Amino acid sequence: MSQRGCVRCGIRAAARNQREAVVRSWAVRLSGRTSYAHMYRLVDQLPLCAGCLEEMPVIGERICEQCGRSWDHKGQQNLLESGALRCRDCRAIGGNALVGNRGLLLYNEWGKDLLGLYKYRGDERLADFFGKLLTLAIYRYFRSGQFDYLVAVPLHAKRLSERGFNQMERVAGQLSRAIGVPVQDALTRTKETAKLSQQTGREVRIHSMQDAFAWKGEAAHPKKPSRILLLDDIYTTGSTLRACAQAIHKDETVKSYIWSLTIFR
Amino acid sequence: MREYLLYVKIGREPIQAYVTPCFRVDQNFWQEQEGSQLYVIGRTPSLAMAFSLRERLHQYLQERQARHDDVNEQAVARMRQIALTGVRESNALYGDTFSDDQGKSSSEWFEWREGIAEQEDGSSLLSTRGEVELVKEVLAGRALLWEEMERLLQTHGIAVPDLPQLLQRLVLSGDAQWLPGVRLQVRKSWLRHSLELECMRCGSGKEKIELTTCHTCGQGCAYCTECLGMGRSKCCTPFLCVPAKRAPSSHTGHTGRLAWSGRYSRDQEVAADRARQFVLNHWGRNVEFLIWAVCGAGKTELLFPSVVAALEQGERVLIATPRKDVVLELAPRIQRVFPEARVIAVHGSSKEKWEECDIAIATTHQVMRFYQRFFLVVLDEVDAFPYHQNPVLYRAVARAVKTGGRLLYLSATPPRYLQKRLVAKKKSLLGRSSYALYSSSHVLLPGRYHGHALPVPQICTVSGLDKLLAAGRVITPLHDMLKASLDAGRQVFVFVPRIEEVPRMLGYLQVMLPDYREGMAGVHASDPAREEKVMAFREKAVKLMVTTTILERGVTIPGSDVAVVGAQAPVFDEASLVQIAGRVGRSPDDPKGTVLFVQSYRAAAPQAAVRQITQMNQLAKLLRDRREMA
Repeated sequence: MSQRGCVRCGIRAAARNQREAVVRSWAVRLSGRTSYAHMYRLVDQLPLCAGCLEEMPVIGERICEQCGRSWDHKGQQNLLESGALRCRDCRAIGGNALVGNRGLLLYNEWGKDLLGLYKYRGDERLADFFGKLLTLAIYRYFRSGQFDYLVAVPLHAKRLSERGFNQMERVAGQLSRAIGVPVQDALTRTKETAKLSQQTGREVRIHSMQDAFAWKGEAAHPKKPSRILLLDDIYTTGSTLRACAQAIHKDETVKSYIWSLTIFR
Repeated sequence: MREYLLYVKIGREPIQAYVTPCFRVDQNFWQEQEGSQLYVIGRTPSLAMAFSLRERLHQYLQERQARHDDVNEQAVARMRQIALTGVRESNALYGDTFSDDQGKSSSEWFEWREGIAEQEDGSSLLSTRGEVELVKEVLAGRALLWEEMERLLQTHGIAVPDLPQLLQRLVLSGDAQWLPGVRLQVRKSWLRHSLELECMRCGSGKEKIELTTCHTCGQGCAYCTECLGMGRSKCCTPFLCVPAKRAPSSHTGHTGRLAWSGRYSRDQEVAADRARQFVLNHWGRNVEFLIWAVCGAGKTELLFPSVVAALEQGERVLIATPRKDVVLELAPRIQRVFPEARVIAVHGSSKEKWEECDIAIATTHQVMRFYQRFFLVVLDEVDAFPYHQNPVLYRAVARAVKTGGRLLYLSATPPRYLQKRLVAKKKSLLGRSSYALYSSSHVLLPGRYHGHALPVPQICTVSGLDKLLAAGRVITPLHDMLKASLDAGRQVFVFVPRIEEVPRMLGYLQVMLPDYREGMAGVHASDPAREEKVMAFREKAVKLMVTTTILERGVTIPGSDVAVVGAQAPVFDEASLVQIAGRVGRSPDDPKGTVLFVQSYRAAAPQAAVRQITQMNQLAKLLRDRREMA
């Protein structure tokens, strides 16, 4: 654990052996594609105390193939029909530039305050924590070396200047250092959209995101089709990430292979 | 991106360097004032950088002045040189300190350009005189970050087209002061130079400040993590301090009307009057005063005469207290007592926190947003958690006091450093020192308002306490005391040192005292049902409450006893144990009660607490005897 103690509750030295047990149980559950030892180290690095670590709302094994939504989560059962591999929202959307999305945690009370603290209050020290979470997520869902580069979802210049930092850029930096895949600052946000919380309804959201992003002129397109991983903090309707993927595809002759990874789903 | 220009004014004394976001305003201002000559040194987008360079220039100017050298063109050239060196040094040091490898080479952290920006807008000051006055009035007595200030003006419905220009004008005329949110300075030493950072809002030093690349200024930047909860204080965020110049004149006279039907005891009356004398400044030039009154002496009431004294002078009063619940409880009470004064409760989520007032009741963190606004500032429970050993909050409180204002501390257990500073000790003939009952900087109220002595705690040492508890063995003194209290129909607080021990202790007691199983509950700070449980305890639905130190102050339950299990633990210091013992015997109908400290080995704090309580009782007795003699 870091010197700061648990990022959620601030407790410094919790019972060490108790935490050990929790870390082990997470490592067992999450080590699918990677080894137990590796996953153990990743979980152990999280700056969380035993209690908070135990309550961490990690999305289970049963998820929508496309958007990574949990099937077990309450209130979403009605959106899914047994036997289907994709959830209803994803089937409605159909084919898209974005191959799929994976999220690590459910977006609930557990993480809401933490994300708020990071994004809105500006506690940049949390970038380290979220970076570690995403590292864990990458090893859980993907293979190392599956991607050529990482792209963080950009903020509009005005929002960026208000906030002083792009929350995902910081996290992407952390992640890139952890897994050795370079970050490319390839997208810009051309349209200023209202805050997520101030938009109501899926339709409004999807509409407002249309052509909100553009490929940056200076970042030259690679010759061969590249494999890109988009990073964002949360996938709600997915319109942001789909708009990003579309923007990347738009100027390309050879289409890239694009996945996205979010902290919360 | 805003740019800040650094220039030197040469002409009439004093020769000084200034930082401005809009040079045109300054040019006009100085032309009107005295027609001095202005020499531009350079400009940078980093506010902290500009101020750090200004500091250097001042140093240079002082040196020059000491040598009686004239400041001429040559000196200006030298100053430009100094500025350039300053930027270079900061660049190098910042690069060294900032470990994050973002791929920037160390020479690019701070931009520095000489000369004036080309495209400065021609208009110097668009706002009318009325607008300027309005902004000045709204901001008076506040210390705010730029964003906070914008929000404040917005809530007041003030839209000014040229806020920076307007504020710069205020700064030049001496009505305001602006600073970078985080100060940056190169400290030189023979061993190695280092970068010194300080949050101008909360005063935290380097260890609390994080370096970062900022997209707002595009420069090397840093933000303070200590006061992050109140908005980010950064190198590039202007921090604006506007002192309140005059008393709110519109409504003097009536606001001080006291509608309080209670009566003081003799001792209370004397103490309250001493505090009032202090506020009226009858005792020299003291600015700090401590009211040391034991638990249950009626501290809040003691304040009334002092508050009246301040209000009658047409001044504002601030009562700062550590916790939000206290603010919420105190505000209506004060409003009832001072019906004609405007009382506002200021806490994180309060709606009226920006409003004009006569009396403000604020949580300590909110005090940070005030600047020389109040004539009388009262600090309740100075020994409690946020103040204790926290220079940040002391600094904030001291800043909220007007020049020439008064600071009044209120505590039952003042920390040592306050005692040393404010409480005089006197030595008796036998050489034993005891506290003086009053001096020009404090007053001590050793007895409770009902005149009965404080219950003195009993200490009992049980070796292997934890093991006995874990094994569920009976601890005779504890068992007897609890049983006697509960049998007598009294309520009991059982204090434990840590949250984890609350359920454990509860389980143990439920086994030990099966007859009272139903009437037991446990509460701790992160308990979601905390309020309901405390409510149930107040309503006597719960007879025995196991708790951590959260209930050590503020909760008054008539007819209650207290046991502290594990009194040797470091969380229970002398002050906290005195407070805990002070829960007992507060009501005049039931002034007696039992306090039991169970410790697993002999520790200093319980003993010191007992000593303090006995000392207070002795002093109270002395006072009583003296009065009877007279």
